[in-house]
Amino acid sequence: MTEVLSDLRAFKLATGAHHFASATIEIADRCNEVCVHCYQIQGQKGEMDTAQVCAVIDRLADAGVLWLTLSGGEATLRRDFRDIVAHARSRHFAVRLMSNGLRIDDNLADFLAEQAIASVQISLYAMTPEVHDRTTGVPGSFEKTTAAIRRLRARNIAVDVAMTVMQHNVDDVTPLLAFTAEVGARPSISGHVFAKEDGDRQTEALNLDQDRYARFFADLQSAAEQQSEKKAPEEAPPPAPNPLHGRPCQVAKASVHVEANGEVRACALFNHTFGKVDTGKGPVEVMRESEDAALLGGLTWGHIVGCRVCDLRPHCHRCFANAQDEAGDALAPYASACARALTVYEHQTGALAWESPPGDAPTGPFREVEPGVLARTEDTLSAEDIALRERAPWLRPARNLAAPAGSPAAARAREGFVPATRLARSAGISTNQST
Amino acid sequence: MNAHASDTLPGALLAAVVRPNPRVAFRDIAGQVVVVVPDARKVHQLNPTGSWLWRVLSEEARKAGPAGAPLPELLRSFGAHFGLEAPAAAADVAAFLATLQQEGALEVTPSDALRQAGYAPAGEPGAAEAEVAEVAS
Ligand code: SF4
Ligand code: SF4
Repeated sequence: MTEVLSDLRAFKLATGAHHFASATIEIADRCNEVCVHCYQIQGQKGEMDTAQVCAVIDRLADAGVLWLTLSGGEATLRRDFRDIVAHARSRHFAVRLMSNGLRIDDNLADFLAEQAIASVQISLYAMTPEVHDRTTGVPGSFEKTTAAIRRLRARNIAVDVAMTVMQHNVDDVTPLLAFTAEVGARPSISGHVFAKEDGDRQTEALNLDQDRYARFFADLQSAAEQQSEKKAPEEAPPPAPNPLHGRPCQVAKASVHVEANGEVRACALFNHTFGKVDTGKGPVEVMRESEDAALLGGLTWGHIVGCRVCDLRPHCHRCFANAQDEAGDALAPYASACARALTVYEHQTGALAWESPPGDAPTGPFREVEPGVLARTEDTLSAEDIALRERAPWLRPARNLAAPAGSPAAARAREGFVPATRLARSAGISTNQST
Repeated sequence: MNAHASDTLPGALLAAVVRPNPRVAFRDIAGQVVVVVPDARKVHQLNPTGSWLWRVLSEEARKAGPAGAPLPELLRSFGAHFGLEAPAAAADVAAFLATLQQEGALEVTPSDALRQAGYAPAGEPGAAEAEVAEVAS
């Protein structure tokens, strides 16, 4: 009567059944680090109080959510942090915490162990103390964060070590993998920095250039190969063909995200608010009743103009939120995804040549002329594409800002930036009208 | 169900109580119960029968308070719901509960009640079947 599953398979069970099994609540709109690459701007949203957070947790439990991630900002900065965790556990959630670890001393680690928290994700950016501290902006943070990881592991708490790889810390990937293996933590490594939530894209300059990305990718591949040698062959991940009816990610399908002020989003990064929890509805009800959420949850590769005709699709891990930031259009190719797909393609085919010079930072769609040889190609807009754009202008936020002339938001919009909803709102401008 | 469970139950189970281990997380996902056992890093998906049983035992345990739900009552409900004779219900349920206990998903008090009664976790050689046959005869 029982079958042991991986988290991932249980999540697929949920997505297959269109069940919202996972939720994140950003409980703190503040942080005790100032990471150079962070997409968040702290201290502007405001925070739900204890009763409001617990009410959201109750609504999520009633809606059948199992995995609950508490994040921030830095969630542990809240005075009622322990009350919130205890309340979530009393409602039988598998609680995950996202933290920088600075406040996880022995006492807090004991509490998390007592509460049988499912896992803690700790951000660690380097095994070179100066590099980590420079990234977080907090001297001494490397020592505190690594000590917190060891403390949690000593109490048998599962730890995911999250590293965002950038230009300045790419050489730390291999040492960090060695550290996670030593302490028995799981590495969670991302090679992408997002624009800030107010649309400022300066953080993107920290992203790996093409050469460093290729090196990073090769490091990860060899680590994965070493790992898979230890595993049975049937456990190797299947290739991702990314068929046209498939989805690039499960956004708006099985998980929901609640901002510190109660705004309901599909994920932390996708720039659209589907409703608010202070209307008496829980986050899952907000998503279920939202036509916008249904639309987002139904988007497939076949809806993405350009990508649907691109031969690099099986090698591509594009993201709707990223496309909003970079291309101003969730349904368009964007340079950094294309660059990463080209790197993966080259690694897997062993060659990359062009039929004719593609120019700098080539953006797809691409056609495979023969194995290892690519050419740029084109796609055409259909009547359905145009109808979709009209129905959901929020998919293309940078083309959609009605800002007073001369305002900072208007300047950002002219430059193609995506405005953060709350900043646009505080400037008294609407993000829901087409210009 | 013709016979009351307690008529045929091994003595060790008569006073046993069960409850979900307070350290686990669980939820009904699309009609199937998923149980997360953080200490073992495992996620268990229960089949429809196991899911039914988990729902009843967690609800009964909640009502019963910290002590947990009486095992004989659970067996009786199970037998009545699935139309099983008491010995068959006891064999199915006790082996399942023993598996959940071994996986850290369930607390049984006294902790060795199932083993004392001869029920081993599913897949583990044990005396459960022989014991039930004996009790039934
Ligand atoms: S849109 Fe991007 S950030 Fe959001 S769930 Fe999809 S891949 Fe993740
Ligand atoms: S490589 Fe570029 S064009 Fe091709 S699928 Fe990815 S994002 Fe789209």
